Amino acid sequence: MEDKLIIAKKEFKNRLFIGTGKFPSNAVMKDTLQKVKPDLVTVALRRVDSGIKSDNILDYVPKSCTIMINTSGARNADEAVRIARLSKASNAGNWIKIEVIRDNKYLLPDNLETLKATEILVREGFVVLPYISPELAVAKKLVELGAAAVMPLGSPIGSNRGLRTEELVKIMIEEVDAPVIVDAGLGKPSDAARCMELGCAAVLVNTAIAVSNNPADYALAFNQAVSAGRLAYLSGIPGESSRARASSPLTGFLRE
Amino acid sequence: MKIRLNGKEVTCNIENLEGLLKMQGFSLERIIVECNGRIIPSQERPRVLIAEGDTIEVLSFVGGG
Repeated sequence: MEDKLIIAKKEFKNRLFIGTGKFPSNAVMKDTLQKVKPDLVTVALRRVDSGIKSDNILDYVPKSCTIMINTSGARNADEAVRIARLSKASNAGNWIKIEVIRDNKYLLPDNLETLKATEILVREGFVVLPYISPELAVAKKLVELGAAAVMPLGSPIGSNRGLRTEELVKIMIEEVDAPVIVDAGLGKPSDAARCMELGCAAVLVNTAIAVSNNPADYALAFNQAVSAGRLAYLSGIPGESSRARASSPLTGFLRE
Repeated sequence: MKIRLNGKEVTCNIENLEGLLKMQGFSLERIIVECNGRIIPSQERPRVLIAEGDTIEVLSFVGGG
């Protein structure tokens, strides 16, 4: 059986999405992306320093990748919309990860402003994937407004603390009629495997990969965990029991 | 005249946007430019005139999650 993830009519074979921030160099990032072959990567938009010839990040991303631009730095819906429109002007595509953050300590998203930005950007033809605190009512509303997927956080951005929001994400997977992609906080491949076992459509990982001693290999480990978790989910994970259930026959013992 | 370029006050004597960007040393191919809140398509840059007090933003893609 072929297992495809389709978002906004685009087919994704690799369910590990990768963020491009914090890599030690563009060369290391390129090496990582070549090894793992993600179908989607995220980038950010920032002011350029004048007079400095700096490399363009997009030159290091394989052409086959869908580029999703995040609205990091936006503190409200208007700023997120402005970043999205600027990104579109660059011809980098119309996939937008809405990220509206006012909380500098935990970098938790502002769900209300995210709703407002989603409504505007969907109307303008963007493919919108909002990054949210995992609140079911908000996720449902976002999908109603036309979000192509929802991206609840696992734990605070860059914290590597794993899927601390598991109960809420589980409910979201069950109740929301759109792909659920855990974004932020996944630190270990086992965190990603857990998300996929629960039925997440994909995961987005950046910090853990970029800051590891060997980003390319660590990304590969994440990728294998994502595949393993997905396969387990599709196979049907057997139920748990509080008591032992013998795996060898309980008849024909030598003593009888 | 004085303008604001990426949040900093800059004095310039060039009248059009393309000239200003060149003078400031930006690589013209990979930047996105906004002038007073309006996104300027690259082909329009030579025709856009700069006036005292204009606010210009020059942006590009960087790594991000």
